[in-house]
Amino acid sequence: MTDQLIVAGFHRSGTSATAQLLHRAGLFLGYELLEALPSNPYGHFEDKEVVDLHHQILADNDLTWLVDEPFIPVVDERRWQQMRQLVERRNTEHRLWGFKDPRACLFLALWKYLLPDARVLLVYRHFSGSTYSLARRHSALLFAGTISGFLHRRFWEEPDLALRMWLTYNKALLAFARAYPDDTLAVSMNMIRDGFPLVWAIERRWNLGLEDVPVGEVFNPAATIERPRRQPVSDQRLIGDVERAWQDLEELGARTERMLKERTVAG
Amino acid sequence: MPDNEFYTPDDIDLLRMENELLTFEVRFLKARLGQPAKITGSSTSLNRLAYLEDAERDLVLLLRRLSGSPVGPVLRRSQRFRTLEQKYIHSPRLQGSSSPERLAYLEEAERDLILLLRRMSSKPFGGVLRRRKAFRTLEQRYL
Repeated sequence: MTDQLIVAGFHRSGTSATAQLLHRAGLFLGYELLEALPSNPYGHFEDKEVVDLHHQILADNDLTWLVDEPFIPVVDERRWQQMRQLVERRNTEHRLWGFKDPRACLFLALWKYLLPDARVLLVYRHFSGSTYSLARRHSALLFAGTISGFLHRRFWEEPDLALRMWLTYNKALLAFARAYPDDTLAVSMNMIRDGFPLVWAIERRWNLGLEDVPVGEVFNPAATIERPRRQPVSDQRLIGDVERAWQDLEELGARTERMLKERTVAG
Repeated sequence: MPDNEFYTPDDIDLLRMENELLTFEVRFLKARLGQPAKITGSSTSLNRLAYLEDAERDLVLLLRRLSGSPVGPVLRRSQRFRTLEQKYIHSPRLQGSSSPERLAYLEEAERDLILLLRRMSSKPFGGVLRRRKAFRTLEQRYL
């Protein structure tokens, strides 16, 4: 019997810090984790094999990770085979394992099909902070002259790109949370930053066998900087959708806090 | 002169994005020039304001971290620590970046942060705390 925990959340939403915490608590996250970068000095805690697989599926669908509208991935047999093999290997080698990749938000239904008992930790952050952080990261990459300059530049060529991405990723998370409420736990970046006992909450909910470790210094203050001004938006039709998604995410976060209180009282 | 020598910048989205990118470029170039984060003098330039706002943010984060840590209850026995918590965590922050009150508040936050960091850096806990990168970064930035 094995358990799996997937960490999913939009880019720049605190998923790396969360994964780092779970890694310390004993969750196996992969053999080859992506290295630290200036934009993520403590490391991404992303399994290269899973990330590559997600990139490949996106490429098969003529997409990059800059997905800004809902899509249903077409997955060919070769990719299914790769996913199945990865699952089989990990299940054989680890009693408890998981992975973290923001792109996982777009593929949760696929993973749930292969891993019917998998649990998903949903990490979310306010659109304003996420999109600003994304802009900071990609402006730095653009000016530093790194490869894929065309990709970084898209954030300043396509109005609202980051905001539409935030909406697409988070709507996918919300859809998953509605479909599998018992297998989803939602936390905001702010909850974790402010000391929410995440590992303890996961254990109370699912009893996976993680060791309780303090949140400690997993947050890089620079990564949690908030947008200094209000969120710019070009297409005003987005506003209602974004606000609704944010309220729904906050409701999920509140549900997590209520669950924890109830179980604490009961326990 | 042909008509196409002129254009009227009427695409507000394009202007807005260009402006945002230029702001990031300035930030990037300043960082590359190695401009020290600490800007001296009493000028209330945008740089100084940005630095003070960073300091306030770091102070709030540090206080939240300390409050939520196992030593939180011990620290809370100190009146000074309770005052800091009350001032920067529990009380609403002054808004309006250009107001003199806001500036005074931010300058006070900077002073409080420096005092707090000095206290934390000293013996016996300084050596232990210095093992953490985030703490070393704060020390380097403000002390």
